[in-house]
Amino acid sequence: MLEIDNLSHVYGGGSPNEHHAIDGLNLSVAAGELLCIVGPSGCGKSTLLRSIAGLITPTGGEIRVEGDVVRQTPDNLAVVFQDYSRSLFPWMSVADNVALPLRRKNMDKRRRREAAQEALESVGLQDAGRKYPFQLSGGMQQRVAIARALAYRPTLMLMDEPFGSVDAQTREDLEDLVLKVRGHHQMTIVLITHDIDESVYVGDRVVVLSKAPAHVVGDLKVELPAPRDQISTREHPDFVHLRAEVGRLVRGHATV
Amino acid sequence: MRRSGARTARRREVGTTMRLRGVRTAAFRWVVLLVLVLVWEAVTRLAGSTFFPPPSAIVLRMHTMWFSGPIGTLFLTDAAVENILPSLGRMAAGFAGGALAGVVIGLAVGLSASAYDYLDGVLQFLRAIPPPALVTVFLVLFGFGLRMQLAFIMFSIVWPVLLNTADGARSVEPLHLQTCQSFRLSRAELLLRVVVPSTLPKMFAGLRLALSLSLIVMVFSELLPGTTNGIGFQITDAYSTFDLPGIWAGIVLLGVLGYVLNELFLVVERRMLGWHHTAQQLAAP
Repeated sequence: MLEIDNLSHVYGGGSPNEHHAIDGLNLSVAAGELLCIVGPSGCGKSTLLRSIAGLITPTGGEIRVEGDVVRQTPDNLAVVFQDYSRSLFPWMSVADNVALPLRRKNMDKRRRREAAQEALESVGLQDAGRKYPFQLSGGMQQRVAIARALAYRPTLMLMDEPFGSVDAQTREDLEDLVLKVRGHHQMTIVLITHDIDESVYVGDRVVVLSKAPAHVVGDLKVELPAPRDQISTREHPDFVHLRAEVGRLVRGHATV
Repeated sequence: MRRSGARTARRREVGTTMRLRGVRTAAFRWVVLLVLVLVWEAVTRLAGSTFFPPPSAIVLRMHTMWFSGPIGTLFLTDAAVENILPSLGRMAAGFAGGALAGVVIGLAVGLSASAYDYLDGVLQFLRAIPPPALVTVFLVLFGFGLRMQLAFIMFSIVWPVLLNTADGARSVEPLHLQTCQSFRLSRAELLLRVVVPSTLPKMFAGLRLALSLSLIVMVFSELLPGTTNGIGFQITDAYSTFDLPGIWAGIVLLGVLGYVLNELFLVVERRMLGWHHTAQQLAAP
């Protein structure tokens, strides 16, 4: 589904303050997988995600999505950004926000509206379509952003610290929402986070990045009983063991 | 959910208190206006100067001169039809042409980083020139008459619209652009649904400046020789016959026009930018 070969990216190459964000990163994600990428802050996670999305062109290496080398944003890819308040369009109603990306999918107005409503229902916001984003709480706004991605029916959904700006309770709700919607939609999800517990709780697999320049220092399979539950999963011995292991990997490379 | 409930409640509360405060200030505003007019009336009557007729005399003059016509023409007299309407027509045409040019060129300049960098200095220079200084250039180019007046109004008002629009188009939220890019919206969709709406607040700031400026330069263009009608012409005409109430009538009419046009503009702006104002109110602590 997604292969990353020897990826590297340098900001401001040649200048005195050039910054190596990624160096020699290899990664492969299977179709249908929910992969969490964790790493210390500032390690180049967002650079990696923006490279996969074709929003920036990496200075070295290659990214392939469904076999095609990424040169611009691949088809059927959706991104959920951390900053929902700057990613949603404040001049459009919630329904229009969700329906906007469908404009290039050859759907007429009625079908776009139906698809938007369906996506809003799947994130529990069936009554919010006519409101404006700023009339909703932060958690609900991020739900709208997720609904917008779902309505687009991506095969690959990228999430960049999607729950980084909401409170703890909302964060848990949104984690469970992601687990729920992945069951209904056949898609691969790559979720970037700096929260170790979150990566183990949500992921099928956790990849740990080193501090910048980022490369893979750990790749762990998460085999926890399904369905996952905020209370019982987090007290499961495997969960405790895995989060400790991920924590060691992240820390080990954050302080070197 | 509780959070959003509190939010709605707060918004409702903010709404009612603001409305109450709005009614009170509006009432107060009329009282202040009334008092000022009464003071003006008293002082001019006491002074008895020919140069400063009392407001009652000015209003009377405005009535007989412009608003005592037959009902068929909405009470407008021939003088009103001959002077007020051409002025409004010039202003409307000049404003429309200048605003359209400003928006289109502003978007084009704002969307191209290099165009903006190259042209910024030139545009600031052109904007800084006081329009009346250019009148002779326009006379040479177009001669006296309507064509010159329209070109002059358009040229004078295009800069605030153009520069504000370019500024707005340049400062579109980068994450909005990345969102559009990641959903692979076409350039036309991007322009129409995202760039233009995010430019609107600044565009409207420019348009509002242009509106008041268009009234000023419209009158100025009518003070020039070669004009045979218009409010500006009426004022110079009254001056040549030393008709002071006539001069004052023109001045008051222009003030009222400027006020009414600005209020109309604000109504349109509130409709178009409702999302912007509400979002800003909620963002404020």
